[in-house]
Amino acid sequence: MNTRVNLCGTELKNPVLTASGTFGFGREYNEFYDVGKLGGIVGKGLTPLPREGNDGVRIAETPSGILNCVGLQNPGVDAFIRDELPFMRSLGCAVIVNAAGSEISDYEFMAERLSETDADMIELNISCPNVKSGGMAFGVLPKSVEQVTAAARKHCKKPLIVKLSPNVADIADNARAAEAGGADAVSLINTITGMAVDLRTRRPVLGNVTGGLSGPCVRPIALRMVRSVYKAVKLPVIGMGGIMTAEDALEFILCGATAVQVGTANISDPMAAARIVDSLEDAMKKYGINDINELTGALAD
Amino acid sequence: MKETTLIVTANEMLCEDACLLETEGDIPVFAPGQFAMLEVPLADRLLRRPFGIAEADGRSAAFLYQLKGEGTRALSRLKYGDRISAVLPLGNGFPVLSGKIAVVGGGFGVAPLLPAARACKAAGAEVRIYNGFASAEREFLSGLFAKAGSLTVCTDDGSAGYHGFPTAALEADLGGFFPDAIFCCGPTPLMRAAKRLGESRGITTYVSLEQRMGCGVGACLTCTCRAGGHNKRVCKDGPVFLSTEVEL
Repeated sequence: MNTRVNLCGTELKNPVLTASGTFGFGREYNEFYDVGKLGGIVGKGLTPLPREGNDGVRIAETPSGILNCVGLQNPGVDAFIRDELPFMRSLGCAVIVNAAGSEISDYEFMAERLSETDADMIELNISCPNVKSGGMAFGVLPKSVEQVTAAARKHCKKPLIVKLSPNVADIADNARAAEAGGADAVSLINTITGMAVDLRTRRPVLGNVTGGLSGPCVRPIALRMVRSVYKAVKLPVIGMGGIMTAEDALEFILCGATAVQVGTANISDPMAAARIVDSLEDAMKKYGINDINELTGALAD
Repeated sequence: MKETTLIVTANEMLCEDACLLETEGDIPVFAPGQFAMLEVPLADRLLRRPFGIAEADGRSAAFLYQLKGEGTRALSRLKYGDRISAVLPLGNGFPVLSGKIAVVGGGFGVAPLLPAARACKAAGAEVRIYNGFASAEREFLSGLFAKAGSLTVCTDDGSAGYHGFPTAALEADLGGFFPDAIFCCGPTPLMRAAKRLGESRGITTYVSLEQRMGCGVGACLTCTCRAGGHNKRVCKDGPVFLSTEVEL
């Protein structure tokens, strides 16, 4: 049975990655299990300078989902490279770094700075819904997706993944724009903008008023988008959106994902990503899959 | 810390909105003031709930919780023999000190103070406990606290014990009992009062913060508090902080 996949030239022992922002830099979860058993980890979104993130309540629970508005709190790229990357690298799985910014020049800087490191790939975060300037602003219109991708591409010596926002008119157009800008892969979906309100206080629950919705409640939307993007571009697709079990992961792969990211499940259960890896072969056996690569995109639609 | 399955041995209503969940399982050694993330037995609820560990030994653990929403109501329906997933023990607890220790609790915040008071008493400390509740009907765990130190129950409405904030009861005692440290857990106004009292009298004060949590293990950065102009994680850097470290 084969669970190995090749993602942009890096061999992953299995297609299970963790989603940015749900896994820190791997330290906390490595206290629960050997994170090296995962295909790879995607670190918390980084910016050129440290960021404190948003004030007030940052998380709310909704049916089969959560809303968050952390707002890219991170130690900044330099502290990350000094204090966190060596640890991530020591884990024994693929290391993907997630880079965000507020201006095109930030993305250029981040691509250049992170290209000097021993990370395997760079995921460009142009879809964070929780910061005022930048972030998602670049991820909405295909034209700016292409522009920011092309700018980062010029400075990037590593495989470049563009993480797409679902809060757009047609995500396939944005995937094509990322491809035209020189992306090596696309990952989707980032969170869907939503809100929760408190009838008693007549206030929004979240300090930032709105937040990003994730978890199993978004899975059908994510599957539809992964399928649509898989058909629209030649790039490998990394699928995510409410994956809680190995079967969920296989559904994304069937729709066209080469690899998947597990996000909200980590927050719900610190063992989630390990359990998905541990049950992957049994799930493959159950559905008659001998090589995980044969499943990618094989949906008969 | 680890993820483990606990078996419910009792789930008892202490008053109209307080329950004590008693469980058995393979319980790791914990420091007083550390907490647990308990799964909610509802399929569409993804977040575990953080609860102070009120009592635990290697085979059993008890958690005090407030009936607040759907999640905790579902918890209250757990019966003898039911299984529940828990992640524990988490965060940094209270130090175990000898000398004179004032324990100041409010409402549901008393839970993590019980093992802290016991541990200090066992270490030879003179422990005085000031637990505040809204009213006599809302008072709980006093039997257990009375064995962990000299207990003063306080109520907001004067229906039992000292009429007023537990910090006021402590302040009134300072002439005869000047503690080396204050341990406080409770609603924010009480912790502010403890911080103010401790810092104005030069008494080292520890506060145990509460915040909406996501992962509980330090990764998701949703349960932050302000500390020295920066954000710290309540779940991993706390929940117990020196009062001088954090803004309340």
